[in-house]
Amino acid sequence: MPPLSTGMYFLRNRARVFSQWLIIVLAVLEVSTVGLLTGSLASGIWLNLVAPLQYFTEVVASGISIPQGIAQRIAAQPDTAAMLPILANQMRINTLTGPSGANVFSLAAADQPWFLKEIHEYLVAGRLPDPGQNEIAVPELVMRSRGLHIGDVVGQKVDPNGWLPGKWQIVGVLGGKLEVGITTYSAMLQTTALADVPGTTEYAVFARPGRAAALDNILSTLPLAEVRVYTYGAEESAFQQDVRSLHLLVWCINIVTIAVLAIATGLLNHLQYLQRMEEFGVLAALGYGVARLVRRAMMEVAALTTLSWITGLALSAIGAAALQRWLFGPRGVVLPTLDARDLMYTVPIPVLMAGFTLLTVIRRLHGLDPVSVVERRG
Amino acid sequence: MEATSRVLITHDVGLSYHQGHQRIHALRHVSLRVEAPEFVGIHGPSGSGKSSLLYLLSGLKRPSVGWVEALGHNLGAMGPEARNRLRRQMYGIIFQQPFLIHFLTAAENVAVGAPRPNRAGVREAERLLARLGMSSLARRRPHELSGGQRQRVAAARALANHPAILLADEPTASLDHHTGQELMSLLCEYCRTSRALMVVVTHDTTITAGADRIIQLWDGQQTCEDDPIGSARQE
Repeated sequence: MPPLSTGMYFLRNRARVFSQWLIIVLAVLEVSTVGLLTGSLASGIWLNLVAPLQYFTEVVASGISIPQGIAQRIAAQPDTAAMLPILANQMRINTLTGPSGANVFSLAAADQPWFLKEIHEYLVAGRLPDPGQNEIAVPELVMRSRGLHIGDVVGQKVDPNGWLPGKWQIVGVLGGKLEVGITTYSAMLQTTALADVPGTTEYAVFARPGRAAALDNILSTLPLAEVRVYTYGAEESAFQQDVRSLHLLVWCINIVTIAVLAIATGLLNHLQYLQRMEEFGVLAALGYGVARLVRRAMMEVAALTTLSWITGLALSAIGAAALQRWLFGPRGVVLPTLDARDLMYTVPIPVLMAGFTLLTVIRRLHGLDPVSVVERRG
Repeated sequence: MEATSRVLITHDVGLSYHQGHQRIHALRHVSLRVEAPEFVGIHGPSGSGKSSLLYLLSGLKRPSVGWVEALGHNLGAMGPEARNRLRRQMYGIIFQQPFLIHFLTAAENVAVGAPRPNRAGVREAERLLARLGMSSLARRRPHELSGGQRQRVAAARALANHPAILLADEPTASLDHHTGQELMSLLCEYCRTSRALMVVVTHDTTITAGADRIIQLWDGQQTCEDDPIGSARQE
């Protein structure tokens, strides 16, 4: 290895290089972990509030129930494929960021197979609830996250921390990407006070293939005094707005952390380069130009920050996969994978650190007087 | 860079600087001409301007007045990069302290002085150390060497580019008499065989015993040129 190469410096100064490497790796780990947690929170919210609306539009009564005229108007739309009376509730699921909700839809037993097929969910174990029975098919993730089994009973009546009203026996397990549970419409009506309410309080409206946007446009014109309409487009847009705000907040916190770390590492680097001024001074006295010395310093800083950044990212990915595999997975908590945004958050770490270091070191190298170095007497 | 003639010339050079409001004259009206394979010793007490003269000769400092010509190049008229290039290719400089890079082995430190400090340069440096009787030190780091060994490695570094001009500033200051003499023999031998010119700055007259000429400096001024025996007698 050439004596003045970056590799030689790293190889022979492992302890020095390690301290800087460690700081950058830990900074990347910290920032990417925050990104991961933010992503986990966001994906949980999206799954719960937005994801089902990819398949149907929810029309909910603004008052007690949806007026007959409105229901007939929806059914009469040529873009309407089906319109199922539905009740939406939530059951508790344990996530990385604490308890959260998973959708439980109640609909007529006869409609359930078709509904599940439309939303790409399927029965993994057991069976679907029988009509009129307080039975529930629970999503796989909830089963794992709470350690539930077929035959267990869930609901507020048996669990003070339960979210689902009443008492429900698990008869089946549902798989798929949406993580929804199913009960029968009549049983839920009996369980809640809605049994005495005339009419329907909520519909899941399915559009004909390729006509979802057109149907949503029409449904959005329904009078707000009568119904509230939850379309995928509107909810997704609102969700993205919230996510942007969340990421902005996280970004503000991250940037302060990154700035502090960049300055700390920059100062550490600066001190280490100050200690090396004799080395640079002698090289300058031997005829190595400032440009070459600056290039050498830049190579070292760039290589160290880039290597540390890549290691930090690799460790974050490996760490997240390991946590998912051995810690969170068995508990039914899904960690999102590191995405481009998480990686983007970590980019300022090496950039700022290298920038701060180079700014100070280059300034010093440009002002380097080799004579003052070699005139120092032992 | 091709050396037209192996000559080092100063023309009435002076070096002055400000210290507060005071103007200090480190050197005044120094003119000399050293031609290969001459060995010139520069004597004088501390503060006489010996080291300043060496910095002017090497191009590390520019004279306030007068000019320095090395191998046909006017150093003052050259840009810093060209001056650096000339120093790297044609000069060998030995400082009072060895200033070895702490994390490099002796051979790697020597290779730093070579035109191309790469792996081939390190192998060449190992051969040079072997020729100088230091092959056993080649793989040692500076902290594993004695003061004398370090200074000899620094001398080898100065020879690694086969310089036409060899400059040494008190090269034996930190060495015992015997090691100092050994080092000087090594440098003289190089100059003889390579037809290089050598200027050695020292206040120790014994190490320039083999010099062709001695130049005396006093208070920044050249007082006389003498033969070494006469100079030693003066001391």
